[in-house]
Amino acid sequence: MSALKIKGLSLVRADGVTLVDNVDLALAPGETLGIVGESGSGKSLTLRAILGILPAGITATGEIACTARTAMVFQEPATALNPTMRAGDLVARVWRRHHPGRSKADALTAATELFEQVGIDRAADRLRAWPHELSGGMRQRVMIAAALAAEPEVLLCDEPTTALDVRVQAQILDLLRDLVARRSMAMIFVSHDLAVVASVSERLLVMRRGEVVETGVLTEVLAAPAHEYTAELLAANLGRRLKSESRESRESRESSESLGSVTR
Amino acid sequence: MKGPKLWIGAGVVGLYVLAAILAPWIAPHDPLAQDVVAALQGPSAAHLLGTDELGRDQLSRILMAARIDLPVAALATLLPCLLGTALGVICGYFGGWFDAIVMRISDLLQAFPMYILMIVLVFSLGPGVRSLLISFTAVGWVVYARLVRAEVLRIRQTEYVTAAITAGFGAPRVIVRHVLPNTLRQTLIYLTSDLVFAVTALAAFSFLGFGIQQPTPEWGSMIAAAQPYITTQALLTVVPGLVITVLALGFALLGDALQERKRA
Repeated sequence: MSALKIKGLSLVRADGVTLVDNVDLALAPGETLGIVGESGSGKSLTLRAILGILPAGITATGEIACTARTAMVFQEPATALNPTMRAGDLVARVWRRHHPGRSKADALTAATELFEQVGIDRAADRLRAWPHELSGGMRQRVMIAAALAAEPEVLLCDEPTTALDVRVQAQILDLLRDLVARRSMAMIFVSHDLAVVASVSERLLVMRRGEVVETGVLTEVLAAPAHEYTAELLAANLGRRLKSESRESRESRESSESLGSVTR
Repeated sequence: MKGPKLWIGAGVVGLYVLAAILAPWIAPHDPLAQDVVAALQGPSAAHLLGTDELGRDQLSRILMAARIDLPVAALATLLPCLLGTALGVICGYFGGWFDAIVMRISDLLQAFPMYILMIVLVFSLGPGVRSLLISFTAVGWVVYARLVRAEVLRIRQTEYVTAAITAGFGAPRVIVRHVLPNTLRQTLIYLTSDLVFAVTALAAFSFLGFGIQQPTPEWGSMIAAAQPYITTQALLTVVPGLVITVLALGFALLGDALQERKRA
């Protein structure tokens, strides 16, 4: 049984250009899948197709079978939070939407707990904060809290760390890894950055120009990439990232110890 | 950031509102009490601003007129604002045939000079507050609708609206909680400058005899009534004219200050 299954998904723009071509994908409950690919490879669109929030003018064909509750974390925490709504209100509203009949007081208690779970300290105070009063990392934590308020079985992440600086990025990745393990959620994590995807995924799916070029267990794909594009991505990442990654993750682990995160 | 404009503008408008509220208590005479023997007198201790052609106390009439001019001007901007905002939100959010029809009607209305259209409407509906408000609303909604529609089109694309939709909120919820609050600032800025127009247009209509009728004290009609005596008792026309000008200036400063604050 799978929580989410996509068969032969194609997305075509109004002018006839194929953006996503015949993508198959299956996600077991509790599994973490990373989708990696360059800009325009169709990875974000695939994610949006699952939620049914494709931009206007794109037609989808194929099958998407999704029985699980889903929630999404967006790329840009600066624009993904309504500037006229307090952080806690947002989380409380989403929670109430998914727990009909419960009181506003219950929702606020739940929002406080969610804030604590995503590592927002002084949670009770921060409930009243406006988005512009929060840092990028804090905003992304609020977004994750709002997504968790829907109690998703599948968490969809659309480049949630791309807009953050490297240190905060590592903290958010730790947090996601931790949450997925604790709540036994499934997760699809989309990024152009192989190193980021590799740090949170069990399985890997490589996309290029709307097509899946390779898929498999992460460690196997990294050890022996079957497609030359995967090898290219890997080589590009190795040179650039591995040196800085080891240094950054050491620092971030020190600074995120207070979050009680599981280490790699 | 908060320059003198904001305080002067707010001070002037606040003073007028205060005068309107307190008018029945601070007006020295009954604004409708005639004393033909004491007609057309200059300023004196008994009548600080003199008397008009029917011997009514000019100061009392100017103070009491604020109770007519201010609320009518406020309604004459609020009603078009409400109608225009409602239409603009529906057009911007849902688009489709409704949007097309509303936008073509607004094209049509904007092709005519605004004043002429309003005069025609008031003329055919007959003088009075009701027909003034109808004609202000019928013509004035266009700008609000376009303004709000453009804002909604922008906000619709933001991730926080997508996020709200994926969190399972329906269109009414998304519109009221996420879209509308973010259009308010633009609308408020325009509304303040629109008040300048409403105040002067209301006085102009009453001056022309289409608006508020004698003997009800109203600044525009007071100017019209005092016109024949402009060479002997110039104050009778000058003071109501100044009163209108200063109020319009107050609103203009306020609107300017808000516009600047937005840019800052």
